[in-house]
Amino acid sequence: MGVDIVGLARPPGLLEISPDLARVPDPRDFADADQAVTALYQAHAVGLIRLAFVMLGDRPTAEDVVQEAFCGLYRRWSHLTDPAKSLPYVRSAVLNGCRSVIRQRARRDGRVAAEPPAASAETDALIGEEHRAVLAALRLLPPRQREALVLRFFLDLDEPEIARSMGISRGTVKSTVSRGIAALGQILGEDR
Amino acid sequence: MNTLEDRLRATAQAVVDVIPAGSAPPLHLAGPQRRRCRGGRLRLSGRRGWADWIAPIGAAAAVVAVTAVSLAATHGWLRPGEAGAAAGPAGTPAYYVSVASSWHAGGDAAVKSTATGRTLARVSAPRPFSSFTLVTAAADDGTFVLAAQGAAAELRDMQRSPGLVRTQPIALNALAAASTTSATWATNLPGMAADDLQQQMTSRTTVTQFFMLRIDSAPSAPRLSALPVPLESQPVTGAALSPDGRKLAVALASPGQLTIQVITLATGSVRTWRGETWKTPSLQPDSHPSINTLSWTADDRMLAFDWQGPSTEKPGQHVPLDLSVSELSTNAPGSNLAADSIPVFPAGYLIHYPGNAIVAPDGKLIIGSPLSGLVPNVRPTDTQYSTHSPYTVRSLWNFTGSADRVLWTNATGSVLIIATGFGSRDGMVGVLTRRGLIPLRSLGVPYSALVANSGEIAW
Repeated sequence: MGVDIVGLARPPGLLEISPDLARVPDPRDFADADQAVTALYQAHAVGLIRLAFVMLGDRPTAEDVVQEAFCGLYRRWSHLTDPAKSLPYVRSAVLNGCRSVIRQRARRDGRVAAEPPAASAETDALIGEEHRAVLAALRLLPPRQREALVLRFFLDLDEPEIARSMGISRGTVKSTVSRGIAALGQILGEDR
Repeated sequence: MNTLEDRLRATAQAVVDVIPAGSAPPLHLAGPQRRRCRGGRLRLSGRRGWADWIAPIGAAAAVVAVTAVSLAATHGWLRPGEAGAAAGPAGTPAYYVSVASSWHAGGDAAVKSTATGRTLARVSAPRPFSSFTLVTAAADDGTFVLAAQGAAAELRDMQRSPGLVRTQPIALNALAAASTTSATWATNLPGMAADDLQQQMTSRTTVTQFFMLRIDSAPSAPRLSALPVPLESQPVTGAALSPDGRKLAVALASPGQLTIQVITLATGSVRTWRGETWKTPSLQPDSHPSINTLSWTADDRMLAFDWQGPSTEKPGQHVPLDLSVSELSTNAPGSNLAADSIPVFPAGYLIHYPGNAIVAPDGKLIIGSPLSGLVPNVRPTDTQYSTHSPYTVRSLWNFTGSADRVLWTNATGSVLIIATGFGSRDGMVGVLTRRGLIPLRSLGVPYSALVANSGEIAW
């Protein structure tokens, strides 16, 4: 095995594409629902947990939402007409799960935009103040704008994929992202 | 690209660091979880109906249980370690073991929680050994190997005591409790007859014995067992347990010679590589070249070792310390350390304050230096480090502090535990990720000891 020497002195590199996002298993390759859903989970769970984490600000709940989305996919597997659409399906399920959690929190706390649970000290230390401000600002956006921005910038989806995940047209995606950016800039006090 | 989109993407990268690849919990499609998947609906944070009252009762019960465990541990009702420990920050192991021989009398080993620094168990070296001097860990967050040092004369006397089996080999899994008595231990001494000891060692000779320490996730005390490795009379300067815990690499030093032994723990078989070095009689004894940091790749085949010492033999003159790193293929034939290892980071780059180097299981070599992060004197254009293949130096993080010693790395080198703070009064140990340093409080080992000595602490 060769040795790759690594030091610590240079500024960070570009955003790395996680291997789990680069791998796209075809559900049709698997014999049954267990194998197909498990393979899809292994390939996409981390990305979807990140998505739910940004939406909810709370990793345990984010993991629960993603688990439930895949469980829903598993329950409905036999009814899927096209297994290739399982990823957009589960992505939509995660977004729906996040909306449910936000509604539950709002009902429970008597507020429209309920705060997420306090982040752990570890999460705080890892994310840093600058990024916590951006995440907090995202959570103040209207749900649609928030989802569009998260899918665009955090999952790096293109407009057709965002449209499929959110159940809206491509034109609406474009305008929603644009309005979301503007609103975010206002919240963060940034002129564009 | 505008600034706001840059900020969004930078925040996305921060989230990637918090939730790295491979950190998703397992998907539960079997057993009770499958029933939940087929029929139920996962309840999230909304508490309604019976959940409104059952949840507080559950929480209260948990508080009672935690309090009971805490009280039990405090009052000695439970043995140390039974309370367990949460994982450390950023995916670091839950446990670490520190030894105290160089800075604290007694030489016990302490099992501690990475997250809190709390001591979960304390283990004394069984007689006749007086102290633990070095510790190394496997990658399972529960298996450690400790080196214990003792006087050969005392060991010889115990071997000669009536009723003790002097040459009975010890079984790897014949575990003794952490509070092993000397008699129990003595009956299990590995095979070296008293007469051999008499011939080979003077009364002032110090010998080293290796012990395995296991921490179970189940509520039980850590278990200590002697390894079936011959007693070592040369100074042990470094040791590394392979990630799977099957092999132990040991570095020995004597003037003019460097030695690495690789011991297969299941069989006790030992392979030895030796290399000649220069002697520096006019310098301090500990300035002889020595191997301090050993580390394994994931497949147990490649062993990286750094060795430090004066870069040339210049008796009577001050010569700067230097760091060199090589890799050794432990499956290949041979016994010549110089001929059978490949230099991957040559001498001449890190001098005066050489730091150390460890290889991550995936093969990345992490080089720590007190001067401005890592590898300060290496330019990216200096790529020819090996006669076998070019190794490119590249940098990972925007970490501007010093990395005086790299103490632990995860499988890919993306999360490190380092000692940092060279030259300041606030030397500390922390978990280094791309987002910065998370201090580890209450470590229990002085910074000066961590930087000056190899093997004081292991995760």
